Amino acid sequence: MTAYIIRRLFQLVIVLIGVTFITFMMLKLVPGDPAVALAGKGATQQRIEFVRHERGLDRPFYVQYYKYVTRLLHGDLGESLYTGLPVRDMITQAAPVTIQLAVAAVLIEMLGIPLGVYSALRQYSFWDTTLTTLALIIWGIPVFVLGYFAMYIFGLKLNLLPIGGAGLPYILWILPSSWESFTYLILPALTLGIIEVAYISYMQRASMLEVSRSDFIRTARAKGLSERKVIWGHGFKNAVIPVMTIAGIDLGALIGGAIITETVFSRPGIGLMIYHAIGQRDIAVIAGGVLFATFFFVFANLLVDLGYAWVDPRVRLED
Amino acid sequence: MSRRNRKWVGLVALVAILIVAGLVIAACGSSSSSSSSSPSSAGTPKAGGTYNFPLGAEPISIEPLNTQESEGANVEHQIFQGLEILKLQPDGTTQAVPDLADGPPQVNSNATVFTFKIKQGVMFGPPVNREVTAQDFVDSFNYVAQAKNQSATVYILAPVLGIDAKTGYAGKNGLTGVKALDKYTLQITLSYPFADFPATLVHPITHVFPVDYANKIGRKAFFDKPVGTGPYMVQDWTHNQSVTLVKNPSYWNTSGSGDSAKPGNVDTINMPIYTDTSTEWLAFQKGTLDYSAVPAGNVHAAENNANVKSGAWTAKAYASTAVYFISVAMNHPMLGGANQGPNLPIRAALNYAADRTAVCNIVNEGVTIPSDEIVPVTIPGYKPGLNPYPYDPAKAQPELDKFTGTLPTNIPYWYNSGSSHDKIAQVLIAGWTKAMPKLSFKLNGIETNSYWTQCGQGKAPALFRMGWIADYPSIDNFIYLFTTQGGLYGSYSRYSNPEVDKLFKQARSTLDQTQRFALYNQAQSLILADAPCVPVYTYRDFRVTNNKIGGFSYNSFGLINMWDVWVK
Amino acid sequence: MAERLLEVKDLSTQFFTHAGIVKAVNGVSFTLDRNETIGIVGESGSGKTVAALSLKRLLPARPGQVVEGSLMLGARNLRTISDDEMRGVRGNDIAMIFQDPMTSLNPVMKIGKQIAEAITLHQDKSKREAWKMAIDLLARVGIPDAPKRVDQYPFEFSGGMRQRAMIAMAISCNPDILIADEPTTALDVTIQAQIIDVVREMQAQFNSGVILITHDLGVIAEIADKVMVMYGGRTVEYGPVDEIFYNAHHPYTWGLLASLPRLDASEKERLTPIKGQPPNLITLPAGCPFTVRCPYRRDECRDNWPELEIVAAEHGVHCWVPVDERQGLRVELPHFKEPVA
Ligand SMILES: Nc1ncnc2c1ncn2[C@@H]1O[C@H](COP(=O)(O)OP(=O)(O)O)[C@@H](O)[C@H]1O
Ligand SMILES: [Mg+2]
Repeated sequence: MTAYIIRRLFQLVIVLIGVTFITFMMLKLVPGDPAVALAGKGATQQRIEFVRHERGLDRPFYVQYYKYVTRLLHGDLGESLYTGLPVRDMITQAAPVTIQLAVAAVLIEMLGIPLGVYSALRQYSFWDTTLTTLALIIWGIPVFVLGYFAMYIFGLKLNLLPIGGAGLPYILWILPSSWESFTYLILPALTLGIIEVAYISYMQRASMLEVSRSDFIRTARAKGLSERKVIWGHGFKNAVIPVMTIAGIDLGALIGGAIITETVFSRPGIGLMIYHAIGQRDIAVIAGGVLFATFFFVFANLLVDLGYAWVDPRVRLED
Repeated sequence: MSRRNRKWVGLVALVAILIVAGLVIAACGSSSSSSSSSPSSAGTPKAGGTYNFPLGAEPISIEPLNTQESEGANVEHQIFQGLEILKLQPDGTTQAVPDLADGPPQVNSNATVFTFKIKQGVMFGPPVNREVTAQDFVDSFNYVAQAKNQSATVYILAPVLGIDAKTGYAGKNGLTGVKALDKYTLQITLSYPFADFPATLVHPITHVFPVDYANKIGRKAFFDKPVGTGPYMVQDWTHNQSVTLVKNPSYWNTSGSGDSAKPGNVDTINMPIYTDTSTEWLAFQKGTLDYSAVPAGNVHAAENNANVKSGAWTAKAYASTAVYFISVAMNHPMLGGANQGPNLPIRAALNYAADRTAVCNIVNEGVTIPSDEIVPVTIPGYKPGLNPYPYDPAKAQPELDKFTGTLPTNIPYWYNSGSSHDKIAQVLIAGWTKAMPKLSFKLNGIETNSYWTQCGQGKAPALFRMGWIADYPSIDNFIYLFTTQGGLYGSYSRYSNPEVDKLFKQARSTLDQTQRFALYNQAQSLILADAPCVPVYTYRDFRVTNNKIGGFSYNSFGLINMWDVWVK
Repeated sequence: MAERLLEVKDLSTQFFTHAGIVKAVNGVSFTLDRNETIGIVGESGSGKTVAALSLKRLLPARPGQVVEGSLMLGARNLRTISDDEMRGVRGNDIAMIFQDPMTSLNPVMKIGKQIAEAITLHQDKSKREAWKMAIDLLARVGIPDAPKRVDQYPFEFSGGMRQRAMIAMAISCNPDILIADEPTTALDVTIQAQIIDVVREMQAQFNSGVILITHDLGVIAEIADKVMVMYGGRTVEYGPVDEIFYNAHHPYTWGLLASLPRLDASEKERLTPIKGQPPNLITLPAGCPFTVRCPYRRDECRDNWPELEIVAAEHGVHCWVPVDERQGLRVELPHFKEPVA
């Protein structure tokens, strides 16, 4: 197990380097030039060349990449081309905002599990039909639409919650420091989470129905177990396994979805950071952000794998 | 194994999504800018309270060195001052007037040497608390002009002697053109005549700051919490979240004399960052903000909002110094070539049939002002009626018939994707093809960063969308676009006309303002006759403000004198 | 006289589906005494499993329903007792082993826990005691190294082992009745005999009544006291095991017997399956369901269900072919020239 984790972490390093390579490649393939913006408005070609040379942007892509990786291996993520701020600091500031949201959304997402089970147990009942239909509808709504709608209703009309912002500062890295700070988290987390709740409950329902038709559930009933024991003791654990995988992949995907959520809710997280940096071709910032997202993604998957092994004895981490 | 594969696929997809989504969203980001207005004043200003002013993005910088976009500029404007300041005129234009300069400069006869007297008793705010001298200006200019400090706005200082024309930064010997003659006298020598030079001194990069202090605390610390002479100072800049300004307790202009900033009314200026206009607008409606832009498509709704009707809010479009035009690639044979050459009829016809009013009404919700000139109405010296091919679709086809060659088809029309440039193109093309059915166009939307890179390299083959915003209140800004140099680096049209260059140079050496304006406009007439572009409109900024705030004004550069605002 | 454990009378079970009403079991009656083993035979789809599940109220809740009959477990009618009582019956009185041991155990729960769970629920035992009992039971059904095995998961067990574990689970509460639904069908031939032995041993130990469901007459011959032959949801013939093997009266029973492997037969002759398809249970005729496939059918077969005819002690049959004719036909069958066993 420990060996497994160590191996996975080692893999992670290689993945991270690969990912920076992809990032550098992609930005090389997309036309656009930070030197133009850095040189300022109306700059002459000579001035652009001068700035490009000064900033080392005229060096071939592999040299730039090599330099980047060399610094990276020393734990140095470089600086923003525009502000000169260390990317490490930028990430340190932005990461808690993103992680707070992602974790809150995943916690909310977990509500989908009992909802899905409930639906499955009362298949075709009024509540099942309502929940399932609702889930499908919500699942189809784009995040930003839901986000504006939520802000309009709860922020403006009902005047219950703030509109936009991250509620900084936090305590213990990602925890809201006060009730007020917490109120900033509610809408974005619900917006992002509820879509996932819909998805998870839908999957959980399907999974639960499938499991409830299986032979071992009949065996459990044949033993004279109560319905509750049959459902939670035997059905649930089996039904939650496929859903867990989805939840794990989601945790990573949430970071991707953060670009939109963070823009809509004006939350200064990693997504927003990458978004601005891409517009400016600020390579070190983009690469840093992508590195972070990747790290988070791989880490979330590692957690899922560990959880998997814990729930399902058939999975062996040494494999 | 399959699960593992799926995971890697997921990872690659994640990276791709991050970057592609960023590019797509970035392409949708809009940018427009600034203008003029009347201060909304009723009642006597009261001290105290907080002004809540949203920033549309994290500022790139809030210090003179690198302030560039309107977000940073509105923060910097409250903290720093320079020799000149922008002042809204009764005629709606915005002009440069003396700020820390004690009256207008003395100028030599060929407009190359400007001697300024500096006001006495001007103080840097805490913790510096020191009087500003001419030497501070010398130091500030030298600091921002140094290549190692990497300013992106150093081009403003281009005329100053000592700037290396190649790099745009100060040369080996520093800014030899900037000298302190005595404690309160500053002399600036230019490397070429430029009569309107004082107008450039409203720009942040010319603002004064305590260089010794900046060096002492270090680049990064000064970046976060810069110190100037203005009525407000930085209390906190939580990056990406908000900037908080508080009153400068030892502000120098206690009497509030002259055109310099008066001591502030509100105690605190709270500037939260709203990265999305829709969110900002919601927050304004909630009462969290005292000022807001309005998302595209919501202008009419905002104008008809019950709070606007009742007078609780004001919704208004403020004219800015930005213009929107379609550049013609004069370096490509399709529509370009000789200024009065065979393609001129096509360019003239495009001007005749450009339905600017339709663009402003249909696409821009009536916010922008149709214009067939290069210079916006807000710039001193603006003169209407100079375009020889004003809107008249009936004249388009006869004009086009003067063209003797093979009519080009699928004329490429480039624009940077996002904003509403695609819709504008569609409306323009609809007008063109209606008046001239034989013409056809091909739209090409390109992500913003690559768009400017490619236009800058002269790769656009025929028509391409262009915008220009003044850096300082001078007509020179706009005529420059169509000088030989400006054709390369400003409008990217590659337009060049020796006559225009000559008039432009002449205007720059003319001290008399009336004569100077006449020369610039003579140049403009020549340019418009060659039709290297199709001007479309002058921008206005649509803003909604809460009338519980008094003393609000908005100049054509999008700057608000926040020391004047007060909470009723 | 032996103690009567179970008396099923006129059991009818139907599935209400979109396609129509599936008449899976139609008026089945039988009894079971202590220490007795009844074999229920019939080809796949004849309603054996449904009949058994009806007893335990384990039919898939929505479509499946017992529509008629009385199911008397001693003095209790299993059709009318509450769900709570029914759970008691499932745990204490009637245990069941299912056909497919590969899927009938919970894959993510330890074998020991799956056994102990039923024990703690129905007997006054602590978790620790139940665990110990589980080890003991595993050992008793012939699982070597039980103390280690009890800690393992189903995926670590072979098919035969799992079926043994299922049996251990079934007998854990000392049930009066043990239903074994094709307990060997999914297993290796060599394992089958072992499992049957275990069932038999357990019965001997606990004095239970056993309902053994199978389509394998060979197994029946080995352990059953009496046999019920089902076809199309109906009992077509029943009787003591010797009667069924040596004095069968129903053409379907003959067909079953003919398909029995014989030691002396060549490879080719060994199996003589009954020609034709099993009946459609939705459009079942009012008469004998076997009519279409029966070589001796006559006019009255299709539309009229023949009355029960007692042909010997405890031996009944439902068939329109007259008794004397049957005797003649049966003797002609090659199979009966040299009886098995
Ligand atoms: N859940 C169900 N829904 C509908 N029909 C069913 C269901 N379960 C069983 N049946 C019907 O009952 C008939 C008898 O099935 P079963 O008792 O399992 O046969 P077997 O004798 O092979 O055990 C089947 O042919 C099938 O058509
Ligand atoms: Mg069966």
